[in-house]
Amino acid sequence: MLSSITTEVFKASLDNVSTSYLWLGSICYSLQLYYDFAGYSDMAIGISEMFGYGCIENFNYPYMTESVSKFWRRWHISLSEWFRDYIYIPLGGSRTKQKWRVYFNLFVVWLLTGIWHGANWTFIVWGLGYFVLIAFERMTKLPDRITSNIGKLIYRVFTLLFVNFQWVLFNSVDINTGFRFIKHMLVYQSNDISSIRALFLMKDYLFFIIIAVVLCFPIVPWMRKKVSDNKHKLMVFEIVEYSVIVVAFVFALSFVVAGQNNPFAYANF
Amino acid sequence: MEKSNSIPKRILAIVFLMIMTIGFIRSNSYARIERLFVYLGQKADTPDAISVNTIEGELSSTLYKRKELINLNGTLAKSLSMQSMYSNMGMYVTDNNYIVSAYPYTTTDYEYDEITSFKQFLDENNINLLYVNEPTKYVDDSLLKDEFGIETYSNSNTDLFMTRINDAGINTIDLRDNIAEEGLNVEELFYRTDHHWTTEAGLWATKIIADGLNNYCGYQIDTSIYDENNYDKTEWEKCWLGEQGRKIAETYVGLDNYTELKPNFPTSYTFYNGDGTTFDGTFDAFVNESVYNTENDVYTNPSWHYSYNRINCINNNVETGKVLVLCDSYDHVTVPFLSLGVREVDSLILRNYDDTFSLRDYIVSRGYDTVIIAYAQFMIGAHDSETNANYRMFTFEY
Repeated sequence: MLSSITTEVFKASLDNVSTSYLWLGSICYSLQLYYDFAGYSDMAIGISEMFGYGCIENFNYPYMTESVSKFWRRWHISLSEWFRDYIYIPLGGSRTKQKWRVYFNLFVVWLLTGIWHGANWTFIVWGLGYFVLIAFERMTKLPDRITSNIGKLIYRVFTLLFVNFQWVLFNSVDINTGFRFIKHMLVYQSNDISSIRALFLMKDYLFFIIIAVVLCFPIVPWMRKKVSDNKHKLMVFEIVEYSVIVVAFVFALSFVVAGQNNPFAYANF
Repeated sequence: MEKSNSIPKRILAIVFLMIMTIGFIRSNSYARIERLFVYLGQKADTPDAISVNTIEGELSSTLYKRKELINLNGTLAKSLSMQSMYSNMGMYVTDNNYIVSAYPYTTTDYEYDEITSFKQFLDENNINLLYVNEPTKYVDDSLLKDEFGIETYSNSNTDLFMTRINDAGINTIDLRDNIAEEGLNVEELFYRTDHHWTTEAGLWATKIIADGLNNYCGYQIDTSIYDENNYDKTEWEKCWLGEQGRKIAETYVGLDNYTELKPNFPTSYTFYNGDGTTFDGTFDAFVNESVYNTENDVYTNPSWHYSYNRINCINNNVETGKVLVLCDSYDHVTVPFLSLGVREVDSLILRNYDDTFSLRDYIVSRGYDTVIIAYAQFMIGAHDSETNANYRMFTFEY
């Protein structure tokens, strides 16, 4: 559902859009990419489980992250672990004698991560963007140095903002468009019709946006944990949970039939 | 990998597999396996290559309980009051469950060049030209801006085009002007769930077109024959779903009403079949009443709008006039009515022809005294995109 918004926003001429419209589009893209990719990963895991085998999760509530470094321990875990095991550690990882070497290793990993996503400058700059952010956290020892809860919360918000900007670059047709998109997000740009459109889309898709935001947090595991001590309550919880899944599946099917589905956004990677 | 021991999960998996198996069999999906193998074995960069979207589209079009699933989707959209959920198909739903679409800007240059050249050709052959602009479902572009924040140029493109061809000396009727003059509500002229206008709107427009033939082309049609009291009216309520509504859902926009109009005065026609043979009949031959079946599935039943047919004909009760109407599907309801006041009325929809068809030779050889171009205003600009189904509608050069 959210892809309707992102497709529209990312296709729009950047000279004729409002800042609010771009923010809406970028946030929806961050949510869309997560649910799209995590959903496909869950399908693979589910099929595997149908045959009685469990797989490790590929996503672990990434937008709950405390920092950019930790984001990649929650997002596309299989890829992160592969790069860690086959590139970063063979290069020496963080256990090298020279400090610069660690940053060089990180640079190589993130350059290759960018290239892995496609031979396009947007992906290379996107990968190097993560190198800069992760190197910054390593140098400054943030956010571990922050002791106050409010400070940690602010750092989390900034982390999500940076991740959001990174996704804008990731989804842009070229690097210039990506940077212009981000510029117009940060430097206020007014456009009457675009502002009306942003408000309309917010109203129209509010239900799905709220659901998407809420389910970015581990609400379901938290509820499961709450009832796990009581066998009866756990059974009721599981029946409800699986009923919701079945109903959601039927509704998802209705979107496919009604031509409302979108191809796998991460299919090319 | 480790074995999962969750019993509820296993039960869910079994139920899921059962649903998938039943759905697979009932949807005839086994017939798609061959297509899947073709997809896997093909060269993806060839023009005939099958895409995932093609297979997905084929599968969803034959899916078991497809209609129920579409209705379920519509129920969800309605319950959430979503008005642009189907915007990926170019459709927006107003508060009155009235479906509208946006149209892009066009310079109108192609259309202008074509019609002025065509006018010159007709002048050289002493044939009258009358251009009739048929409105879309809104006469003010700000409707989409105010309701949905969407820019549309349907009416501004038309304003520009009509001004240009008027200045070029082409006789025109802009039905939007008549709507304004008569204080009509444009939404009452159209089906909520279809892009076509109603039969009554078609009759209303025909009277204005006939008046235009009198004013601009020397005809003397008694336009009172188009007064509604000269027609028998049969009405159905909530009986059919238009082409736009089928893409959304019955449960969202609801069914449309329909009115059939037939003259209550005697008529006598000679009709031409496509193969050149003729048959005699009355106005009734224009209307295929078998379409009006309320028992049929509204998703698969033919469009009720097309129950009126365009058939080349001679009206045996009228002495003069030979008109060619270059038209679109709106005119399935105007051409039959127009024939009541004109001796001979033929019609063509140019998108159905290619370069091998010579429109100009056709006109000269058949000896028409008047050519009417009657187009829904979204035809203006259709030539800007080669993939547009109406790409050829303004191609008059052949």
